[in-house]
Amino acid sequence: MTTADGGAPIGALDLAAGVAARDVELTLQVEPGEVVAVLGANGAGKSTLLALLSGLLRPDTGTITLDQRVLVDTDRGVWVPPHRRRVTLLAQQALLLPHLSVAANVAFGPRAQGVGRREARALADRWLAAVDATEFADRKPGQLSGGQAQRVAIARALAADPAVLLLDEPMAALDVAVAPAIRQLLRRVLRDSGRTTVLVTHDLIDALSLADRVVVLEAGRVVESGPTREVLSAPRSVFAARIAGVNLIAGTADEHHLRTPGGLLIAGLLAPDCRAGEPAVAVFPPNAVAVSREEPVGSPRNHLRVVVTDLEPRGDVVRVHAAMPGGPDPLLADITVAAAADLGLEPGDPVLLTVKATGVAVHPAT
Amino acid sequence: MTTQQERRSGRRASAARTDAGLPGWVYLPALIGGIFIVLPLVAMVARVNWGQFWILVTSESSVAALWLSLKTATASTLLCVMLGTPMALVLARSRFPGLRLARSLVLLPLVLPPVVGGIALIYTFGRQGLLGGTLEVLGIRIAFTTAAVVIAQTFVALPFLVLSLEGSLRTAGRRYEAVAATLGANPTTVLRRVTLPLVLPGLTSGAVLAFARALGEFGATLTFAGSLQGVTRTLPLEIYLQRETDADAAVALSLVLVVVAVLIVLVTRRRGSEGVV
Amino acid sequence: MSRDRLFSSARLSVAATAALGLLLTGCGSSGSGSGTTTAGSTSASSGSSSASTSGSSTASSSTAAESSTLTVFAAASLKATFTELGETFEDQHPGTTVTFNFAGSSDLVTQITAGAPADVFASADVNNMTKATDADVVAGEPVDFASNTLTIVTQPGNPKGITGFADLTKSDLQVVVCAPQVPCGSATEKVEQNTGVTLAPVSEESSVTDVLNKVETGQADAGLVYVTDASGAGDKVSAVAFPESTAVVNVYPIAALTDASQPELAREFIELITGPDGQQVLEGAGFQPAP
Repeated sequence: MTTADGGAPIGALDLAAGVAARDVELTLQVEPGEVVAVLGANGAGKSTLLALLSGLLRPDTGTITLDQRVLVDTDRGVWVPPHRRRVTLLAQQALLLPHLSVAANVAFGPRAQGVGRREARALADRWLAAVDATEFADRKPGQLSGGQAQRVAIARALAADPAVLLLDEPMAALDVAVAPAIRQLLRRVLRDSGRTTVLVTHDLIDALSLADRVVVLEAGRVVESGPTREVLSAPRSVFAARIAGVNLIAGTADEHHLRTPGGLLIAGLLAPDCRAGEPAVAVFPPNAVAVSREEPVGSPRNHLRVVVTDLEPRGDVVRVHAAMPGGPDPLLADITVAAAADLGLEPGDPVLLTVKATGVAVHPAT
Repeated sequence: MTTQQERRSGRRASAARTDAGLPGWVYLPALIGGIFIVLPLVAMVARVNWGQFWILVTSESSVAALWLSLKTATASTLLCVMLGTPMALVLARSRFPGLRLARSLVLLPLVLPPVVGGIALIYTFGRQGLLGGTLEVLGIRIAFTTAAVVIAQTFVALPFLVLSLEGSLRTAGRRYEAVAATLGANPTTVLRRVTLPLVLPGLTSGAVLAFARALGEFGATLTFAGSLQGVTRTLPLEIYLQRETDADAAVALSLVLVVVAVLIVLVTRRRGSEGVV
Repeated sequence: MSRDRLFSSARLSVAATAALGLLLTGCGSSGSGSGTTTAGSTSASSGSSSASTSGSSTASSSTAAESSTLTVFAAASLKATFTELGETFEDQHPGTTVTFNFAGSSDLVTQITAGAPADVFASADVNNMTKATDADVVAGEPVDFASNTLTIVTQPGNPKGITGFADLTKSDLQVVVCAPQVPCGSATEKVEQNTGVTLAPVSEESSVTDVLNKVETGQADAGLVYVTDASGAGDKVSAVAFPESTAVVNVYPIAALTDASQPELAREFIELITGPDGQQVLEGAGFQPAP
């Protein structure tokens, strides 16, 4: 095994595994040093993915390789237990061992891997300094705040010198006031150490600020994968669209439209790689949508008959949540408070959503 | 996780002194139950012949019995820890067919009358018992030795340690262990540096329960080990025998046994609760 | 509301008493074969706990003509013989029920002096009867009605070839005796003094039953018990009589008690035990006549 600097880059990850009981069938490739954000709703398979990578769960079928090393191969009966994988998990909770001092917690990984006491302590001090937590070295975890504990947990994870770092919503349990500092810290240490990282998150900001690439899971499958900005600006899955805060309608492309399974035609700007008859999605932001009670007249516009499901005040605007009859995916429209008052909207009201064709981007779906 | 939250909310409630609707009548049977436990102790203390107390409890036979009880209860507690900790780990952390049955069997000495335990031990370790012949060939005699007392005490005390520790292991959960494993700790290191330190309070209270049970062991010892001063006659057996001729001595020794038990529980309870926080 | 509370507390205390009773009987029965039994089948209604015994004896005093209950506290070693003689007594006194409480003699004295309702006390040794007379609970003079001597018991067939008391000191033998604090143990001690043979027992049990049990289960090679215990054990042990035993005789005294609710019946019961019928039954069980 070589280090990140110097010899060949490490941390090339290749996973293709299935867990029948959870109806999960996942594939994932990660380049050495790449930071991949895994997005998905609860139950989409994010935790399963981390459990498979860390070795806390055995797949029914499939293989996992890390660099040239086969960690799991169900056909050949290969199984490398968690402690021999060099894959370290950082969870929502810091999970610092309560009976050890902060320094001993950080030294835990090196000690467990056979590093001498003094050297391990030196490593711990270095990593505590790297996360600005030197002053806590001699404290017990019970004396730390949530943010401080998570800093220490990051130091502990990195001190173990993992080939792959797994982050399981590391900011989710933190105070909103503390999360930005920890995010900034992660950004720094991940870039400095150049370590392969798989980051599970709910939070768009995590993906944007930390990840090179985004993978979206739905119902135990990978439905979308690509550079973070690309996926979020042109989402092809409902979940990615919701995270990006845009509307998404799925269907098939034709010359100038997207045709929904219900037969509705949505006019928009088709991406060059759209081919007629192929699956595609129409994406448009909520502020491009107008709401009215009667059918307006005029230029090429898309009209969608919907029913209001919810009204959400957002400062100057009111976000209207609406659903197409038979369409499970919610649509969003941002209108002014004055407009909302004029319309006198109530949940349950039938309304018409209008989108200019130029506001709709149609691009191919995978 | 849930228990932690519950514990936290419970603490908050008691701090705010909000009486969350405990029906008033509950206090009556609770009081009766408390009196039921305390009154016999008070009655016993009232019967102590204080003028003779010191002479009675420092007689040669009393000191021998107390010393033997402390020695054997300590030995059987150590045995319980050595055997019971792996048993609790297996019951709490592993999965295999027959686990439920195994758990029920482990608890058996708890529900078995001690005399029955003694009889069972005779047919196991006795001279004509299952293992007795083999042991005899090896030159090991267990009947009527201090080892027999330790075996009888371990037999009845083991479930207390296993139960208590298994509960702690389940409450502690496996999250810390999982994190430690991904940091590169092998299963033995995880057990030594993570699992056992985390459940130390449970292990301590389990050991205290086992010690207290061993200290009070009577039926199985009487049936299996016999009764000889300094060898097999522990404090409870001495009390039982003294009662035949000298009620004052029996009461005085009973008080000693109660005091020893209370001291042990108090000392370890305090240390245990510190460990939890 | 307050009546509810009172009612429930009364019920609770009843339950607590019952639980306490269970605990007491459960604890008392460790090895010595104690517990209360009634003689004959006519006594089904009189229950089996000492609490109900007192109840029924109070009730019987109001209807003394039809039915009465005689309560006898007797040493555990008398269980078989006294149960049989109790039935005889009931046959001779129609309408009378005899209730027994069999336990260690010292337990019985403790219970009697603590106020347990009893008409007759039959002790397995003079010591415990003396304790009772000293406590002024005995009416009149106790009468000795039987005696018992020690015997050696071995495993069936006497595999170790024990022929006399002195053989018990052989180093390869595991000998079990009674502790000096109990009657059979003090008798053993006297035999040792008389013979000048000092035993090195592996265990000094607190009851003769425990000694017998250690030999029966093969834990011990030999034990010292009463002749009656040896004959009661049948072929599970072999008895080896030794001549020195006759010098140490354990005497069984019986007496009516001052608090007896049935003094007349008590006197008649003692007459039965000391008379020819009683002596015949006792002899059949291995007892010897009182000296």
